[in-house]
Amino acid sequence: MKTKTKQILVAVIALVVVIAGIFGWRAMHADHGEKDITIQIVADDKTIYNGTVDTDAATLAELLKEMEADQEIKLTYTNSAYGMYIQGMGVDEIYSENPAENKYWTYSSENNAQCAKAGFCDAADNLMIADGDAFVFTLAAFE
Amino acid sequence: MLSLKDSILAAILASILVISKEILAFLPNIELVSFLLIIYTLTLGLKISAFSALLFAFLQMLLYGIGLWTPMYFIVWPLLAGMTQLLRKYLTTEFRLALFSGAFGLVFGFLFSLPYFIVDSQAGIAYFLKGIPFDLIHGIGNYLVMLVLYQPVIRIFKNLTDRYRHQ
Repeated sequence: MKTKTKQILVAVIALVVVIAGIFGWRAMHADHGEKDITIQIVADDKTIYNGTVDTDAATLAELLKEMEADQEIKLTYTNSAYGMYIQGMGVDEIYSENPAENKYWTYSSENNAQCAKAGFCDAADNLMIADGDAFVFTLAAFE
Repeated sequence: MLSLKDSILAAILASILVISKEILAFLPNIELVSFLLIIYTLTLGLKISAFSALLFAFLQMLLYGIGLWTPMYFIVWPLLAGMTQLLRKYLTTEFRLALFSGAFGLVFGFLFSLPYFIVDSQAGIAYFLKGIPFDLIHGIGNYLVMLVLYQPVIRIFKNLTDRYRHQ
């Protein structure tokens, strides 16, 4: 086998191992048990959604996708390097971010263990949720 | 200063960078921007490649708005062009180029965590540590892309550059 082919092969294997490692680690630490999560969505200073969702999702991203599939909320997002990046949320209509006005969707939680430990909430794909967690999603302009 | 002709070329090259980034956006940290910027620098020189890197950063800002990452985009991509120019004597084989591009991918996350360190050291450390698996993907991806694409792409680019220079 040519040296270059060997190098490519080794790199492909390393890439597969790292990606499998990331997803494997996530799967190992995921809690797919039943849980109630409270979600509040605030756009332009008014609450457009406030409810408790019964779910077996392990991460916040999974929960949001589940809520979207159940047509409880409308959601637009892209998959960035760090996972789900929320661009728009809503119930009857979608409230979208507006980079020109520096207006973005953010979320926070007073009682999620991971958010409390880090002092900020991680990317939705990495954020493990637990029974009783409450999240507030806010569309606001940053100065 | 760049001539009008070179400025137009840099704008086209920056658009190619944006397109290449967008078409692979669904794959976390697998990108062609590093590879293309290295190729631009090797074939067209530092001025054009650094200018196209700046334009690329500006276009990203227009597309995604302003964030903590914005100043780093204006620094990191032209820095890659500068480093390529600086090390071009040593970047003589595709294996060395692959190592160089891979190393850039590995430190990419660290460079982007620097503004977070300025805001809060804990946030900086958290951002950096959280990004390590993605930096590994970035590094290996860059290495792989260079090994696979260097030979065919550099051949085409050299050909096109010669024609461009003699027009």
